[in-house]
Amino acid sequence: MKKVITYGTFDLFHKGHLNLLKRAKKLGDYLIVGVTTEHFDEARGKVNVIDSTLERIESVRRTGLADEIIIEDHEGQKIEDIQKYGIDIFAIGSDWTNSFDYLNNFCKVVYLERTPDISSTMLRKGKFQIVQIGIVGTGRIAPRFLKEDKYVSGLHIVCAYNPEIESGNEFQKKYEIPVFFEDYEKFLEQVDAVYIASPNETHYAYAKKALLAGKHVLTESPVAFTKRETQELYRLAREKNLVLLEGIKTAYCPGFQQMMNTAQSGVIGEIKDVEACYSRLANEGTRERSDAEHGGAFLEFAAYNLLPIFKLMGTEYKEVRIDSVTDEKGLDLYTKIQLVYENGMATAKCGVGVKSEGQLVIAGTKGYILAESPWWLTRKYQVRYEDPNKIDTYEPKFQGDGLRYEMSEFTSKINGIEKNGYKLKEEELFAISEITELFIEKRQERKKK
Amino acid sequence: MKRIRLGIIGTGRIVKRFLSDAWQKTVLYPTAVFHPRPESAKAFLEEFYRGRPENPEMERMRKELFVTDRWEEFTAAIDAAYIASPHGSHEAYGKELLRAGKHVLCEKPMAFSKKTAEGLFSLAKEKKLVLMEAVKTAYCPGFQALLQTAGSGVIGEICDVEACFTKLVATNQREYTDGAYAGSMLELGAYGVLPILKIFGTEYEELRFASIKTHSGVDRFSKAMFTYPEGMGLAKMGIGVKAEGELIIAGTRGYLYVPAPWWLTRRFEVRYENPDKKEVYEYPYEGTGLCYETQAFERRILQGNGEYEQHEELSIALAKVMEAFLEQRRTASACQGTRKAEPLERTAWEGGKIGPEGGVKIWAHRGCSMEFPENTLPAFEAAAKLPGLTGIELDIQLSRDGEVVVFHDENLKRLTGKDQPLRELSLRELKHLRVCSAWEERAEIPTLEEVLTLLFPYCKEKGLLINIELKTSKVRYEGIEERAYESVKKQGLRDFVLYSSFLPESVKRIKTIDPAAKTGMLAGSLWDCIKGARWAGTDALHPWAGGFDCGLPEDMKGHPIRVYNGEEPFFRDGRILKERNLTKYAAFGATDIFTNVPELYLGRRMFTGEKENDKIKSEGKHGE
Repeated sequence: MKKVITYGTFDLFHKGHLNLLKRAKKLGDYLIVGVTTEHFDEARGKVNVIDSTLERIESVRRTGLADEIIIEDHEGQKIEDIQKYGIDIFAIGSDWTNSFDYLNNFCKVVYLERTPDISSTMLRKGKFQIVQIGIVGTGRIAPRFLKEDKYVSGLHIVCAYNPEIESGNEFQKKYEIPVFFEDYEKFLEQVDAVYIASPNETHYAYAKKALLAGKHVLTESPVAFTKRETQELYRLAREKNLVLLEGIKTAYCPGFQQMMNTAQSGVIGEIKDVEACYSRLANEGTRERSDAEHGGAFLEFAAYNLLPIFKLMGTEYKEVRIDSVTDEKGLDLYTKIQLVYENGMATAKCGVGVKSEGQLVIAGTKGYILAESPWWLTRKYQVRYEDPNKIDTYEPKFQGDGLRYEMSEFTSKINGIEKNGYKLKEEELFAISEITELFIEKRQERKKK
Repeated sequence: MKRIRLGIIGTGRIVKRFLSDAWQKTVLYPTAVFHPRPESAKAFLEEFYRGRPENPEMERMRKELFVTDRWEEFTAAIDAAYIASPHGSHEAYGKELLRAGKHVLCEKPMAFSKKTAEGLFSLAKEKKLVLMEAVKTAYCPGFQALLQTAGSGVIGEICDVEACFTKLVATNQREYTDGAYAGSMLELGAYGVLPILKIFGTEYEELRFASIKTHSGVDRFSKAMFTYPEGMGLAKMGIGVKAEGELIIAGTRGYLYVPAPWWLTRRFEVRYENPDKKEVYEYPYEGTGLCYETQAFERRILQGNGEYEQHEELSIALAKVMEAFLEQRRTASACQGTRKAEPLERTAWEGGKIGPEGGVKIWAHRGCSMEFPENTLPAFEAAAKLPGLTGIELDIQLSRDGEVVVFHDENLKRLTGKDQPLRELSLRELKHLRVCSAWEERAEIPTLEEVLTLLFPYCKEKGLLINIELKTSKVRYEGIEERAYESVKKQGLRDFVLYSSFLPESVKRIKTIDPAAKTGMLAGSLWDCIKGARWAGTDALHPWAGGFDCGLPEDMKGHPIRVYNGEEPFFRDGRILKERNLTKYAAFGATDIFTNVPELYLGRRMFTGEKENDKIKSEGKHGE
């Protein structure tokens, strides 16, 4: 029996793929198709793969041509596979001619002619729409957004909005981007989408107006301070078929997703406790330490800390308890949120005036995951066990300051490519806003006393 | 200087550590050990002396330290005592000793209610005696320096203290099996709570607990959450959940970070917003670290009580925390998991009541393998004759010429002396070997067929079951499943055999051959059993007794859970039978147990008679 193997991403499966598989199949009696994982693709520099690995496997399976489908996820796997499966012929598209000659030492290498002009690269261009985006707020975060913009395709920043003339003027001069000062509606007319990076308390109003005007919204977190308002905005977005994305950038970080997967893979047993801490001693004069209404540790960092908790333990907690250490104005310098679940627990710690070890610890029945600060831009995490000498270290890829991942998610969603928002689910956002609401309530009570 | 004669109660791990170095730099001098079963304490001491470096002090102790089970004799020989008996007995021993006029150093937790702790201290005061709780961390130099640094203002105002101490303990260890006194909080709570009470004091506004429990209600992981007017504290303790063991004291300018093992404080760091700026402090920590508490104990006895009040307050506060925990545990909603197994005690010890009507079932592990060479016909025959035995477990492998033989190790060395893999020898060659050479002719390696022939009448008449373990996880032995199945079928024993393996593929193979065949998934932990069982579609879970690391999910309910343990000796292997009470496995939800000594559970008093049996019973309740 003659065994043939071929590899590919098979993204946005098309006729070219089909022809290639047909030809490969004809070369022998048994065809094995290796489908490349997103992760491995990214390591090879191919970002923006649109279909999920499962969808891509399904595409190959539906052709009925593959006798066996395998996953390709690491360097050097082709040689392993060829030996493992006793392969006679390695077949691959002619766009790779000569790249795989080294495999001739293991089996016969055949380069197959590809059907011209329908590679998925072309297809992607046709489907993709360039999103004209406007920035609301020209403070600290906006320049970072501009800097990351060039790493994300399909996004074009056309203008900005800021009612504060001074700050706006400066921005306009420095970045040569027109800034609107008064007329938000007029600003909205210029764009398909907005990125809201204004002070926290203004997010809701700006987002709502934008959605009502039919614009997609990417907003810094939190989009609103109450669960009701948050739900209202998401409902509005759904009704108008618009994208509303909350910029908890950790959620879109590939390393963070990998860490969540590792945690749930069973390697640390059952997850019983999640502890996240994000604290930064901010200077006394800064907004987060002086604005008793909209600053403070909770509003600054809770969303980051609650994210891994809701991802891993779910949103159905049984009990929640919030404790704060406050300054004389009532602003929380440090807040700890403790959650109790049916079969586990969790703690989130936030600080703007108290410093603690910024780490994420996911405790399981066999071991635990430890990610040190800045775990929210996951570049490294470790799996540790009872035996302190046994440590597995993971160092996922992380580019720039992480903003590009949420920007790319936003564009993909607008283009209808990223269908399900598994990276940040609505229920997770609602749970975060539920806790936020509770925090504000407790703060109010404290003030009365 | 005059010696202080020290009595010791208990023979656990901590006593071993205590005897090795805790008293040597003091005038405290161990003179007597109290134990309700003196021979058990004597065996403990023998083991302790073995391999200990010779030194005059140790030599003298060896000569003079005696064991007794008579209270008057014990108290007459001592001036002070160290209590390290099981947790539940601390209070009672403490009281008796104080009444007898002895100073007391008591392992934590000393008491389980505020009132008892106060009572003990007032009794000590009345009698002018020293009473001290052995919270070793509190006395070590590094920890004291840590508290000073915390109070110095270098990290600003302290807002949060978090302490975490977790160690993964096998579920057949005392930490899980000490009845009402088992669990993370009672085992490790004193460590976790200590820094919080030390830093914020004992006047907290609120204290709450959260726990993750085993089937039988033992907390595998607990958090104690304290609220103070100026801050908060969180103590985390785990024996079945692992987290980063660290102590963090967070302040308005920076924080103190003490890495594990922070409870033996050798090192801590002051850290700030700027991660490059940090100060590292290091302190000595001698040996087991118990010397610091014994030195403090000695000092108080000799010089009166300098720090006395403070530590009394701490001990009372600790007792109050334990009391609150126990109260919370009592009132908390029922423990997780629904499986409720009858304790083995009721079924096994009262004799003859084991059976399908609901007790824990007994399996002979490789036959009666303590009394006879394992996996041999004599071992199987002895087991088959035991009344009330549910079944016999045996292991199979393939000889070079493809015969199914009954043998456990992949290498022949341990049992026959020949250092060669079994699979390299033909059946003929294997038959020339003797299992445990000191034994008689008959103890040769049997074939599966021989064993099945021997057991056939017992299966047919008494319903004896056979568990064939396929030893395929290290050497794959291609085709062993088919061969074993054929043998069983040929003998007409299909209904009496169940197959198990550590290799999921192997049990799955059996299911493909005969979907009606019963199978069990073997693994070191329940969690791994479940994963394997889901994949291979097995009918039962066969975990290690020390590996009850998860609850039983819905889809696994009703699966028999048959546990094996690694603690019982085999025939003449030089080990002593320590673990003689398997009741605790039942408490974790085991339906069946595999044991090397089924005869001890099934009423055939093989070597020891009634008296030994009683001893076994009480041993399960005492000692670590």
